[in-house]
Amino acid sequence: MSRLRDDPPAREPRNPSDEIEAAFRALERAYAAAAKGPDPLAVADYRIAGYPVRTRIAGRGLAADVDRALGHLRAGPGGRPALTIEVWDETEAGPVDWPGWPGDPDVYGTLSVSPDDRYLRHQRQSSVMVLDRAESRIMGCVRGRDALCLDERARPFHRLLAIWLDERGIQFIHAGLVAHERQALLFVGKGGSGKTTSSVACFLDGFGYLGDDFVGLQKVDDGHFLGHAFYATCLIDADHARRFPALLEISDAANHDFEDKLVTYLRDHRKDGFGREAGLTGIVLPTVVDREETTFRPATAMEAMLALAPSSVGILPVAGPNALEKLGGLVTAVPAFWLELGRDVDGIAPAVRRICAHLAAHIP
Amino acid sequence: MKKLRPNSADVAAKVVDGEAILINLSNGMYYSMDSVGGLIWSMIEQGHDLGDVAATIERHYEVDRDTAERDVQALARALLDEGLVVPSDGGSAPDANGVQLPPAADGYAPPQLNKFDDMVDLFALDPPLPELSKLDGGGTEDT
Repeated sequence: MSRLRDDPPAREPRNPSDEIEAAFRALERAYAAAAKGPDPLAVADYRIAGYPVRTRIAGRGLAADVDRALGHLRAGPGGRPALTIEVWDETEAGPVDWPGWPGDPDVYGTLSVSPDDRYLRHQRQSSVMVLDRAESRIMGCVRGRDALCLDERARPFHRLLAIWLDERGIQFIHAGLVAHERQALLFVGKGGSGKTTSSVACFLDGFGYLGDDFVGLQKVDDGHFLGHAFYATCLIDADHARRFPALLEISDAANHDFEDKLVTYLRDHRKDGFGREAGLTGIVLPTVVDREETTFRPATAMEAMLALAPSSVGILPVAGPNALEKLGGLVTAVPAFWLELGRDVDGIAPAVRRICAHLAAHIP
Repeated sequence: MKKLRPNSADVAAKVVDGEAILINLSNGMYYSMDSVGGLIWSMIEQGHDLGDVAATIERHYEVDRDTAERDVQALARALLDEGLVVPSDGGSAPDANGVQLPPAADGYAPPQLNKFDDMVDLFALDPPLPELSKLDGGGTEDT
């Protein structure tokens, strides 16, 4: 899936023109017109990391797709949402009269900022999303559901949502999160470490599930850390999925030839057991070993930091000198363990349960 | 080379249990340093000059002054070469007695800057933007 730019982008923060705000206003006009039309927008309310979020989507199919990823975070309607997300599907709802699709970004897209820092635009090959920071509103347009990339389907709005939540003290981190009895364990590590394998094995074994790749990290007043769930999905290699036949039945193929994974909608497997948040009690560093059984052993805070921090900072849309502060606090406060993954995938969940039992016995 | 400061425009750093991790946000390279390197980084962050740093290492680890100065200068050059620090032109030096020292029982080993490049592709595709300014009139909460 990777396709490197010839000239990597600099950390250039500001777009010299006001075209970002112009795009936002054009989409705003399209919504105003649609609200008077015969086909009402699909409206859904969610609670994401504790904040009420309302989606208004022009396109029933796209709204259903978004709900497959976020449905476990549904909330009853009521009151003014803290964040509104409005998205227009041009295939379903018709073309928007707006300045058009700027540029030709690569598959990961381009993030740009208005001169006053108020608007941020995330431009992908088949979608444009603009965040108005002042009004807590995301306005977007997609060419069609069939044109979206895997991460846009599995993790709707993740780039701009990460920025909006970061300003509220909740940092997107690259981790899985599962819960068992009173323990909540983060799985951290780079691609290929076995993080998704571990999360999925625990999910299929009946653990509470809060995420595979992206989790929200929040430090609370008493010095503890909360993990917030975002998406009830995972992205998994087709070859890898064959080790978990139950996943193949709930996975959809990629839309593009350059994408080499499947998107798996875990709520299609079971509807219960999806948590919204959990107090973090352990950090688990999966690593693949050449033996049959899976075991665990203690890890140091710096080992946890090296497994967690680089990729977590790498997924942040915005980062500065303090990007490691919260992560450093987490690895200092929460014990960490290596999970040495053997070939027998059936042994993974029992080994994670043993970590939970160890924590229950040794950590007050 | 007398005094350095972190290149905070491009570098995020954190000392954890005396060891340091640094990430260059402009290119995705990241680095770790053990406890002696972590102490040196902490003192650079706090505004100490390299002479102070060498003197602290000499006292704390009971190594000779030449060894301490040579090792501090070598690490400083490596940090400079990687763009993790920039020369600093002074400012008042804090009291070296206020430095939090790692256990000397860990022993002394010349500080090493360990480099990792496995995130470079990710950052090249999509580097994080620098931090945004606070908007007038709210819209954000204190983090």
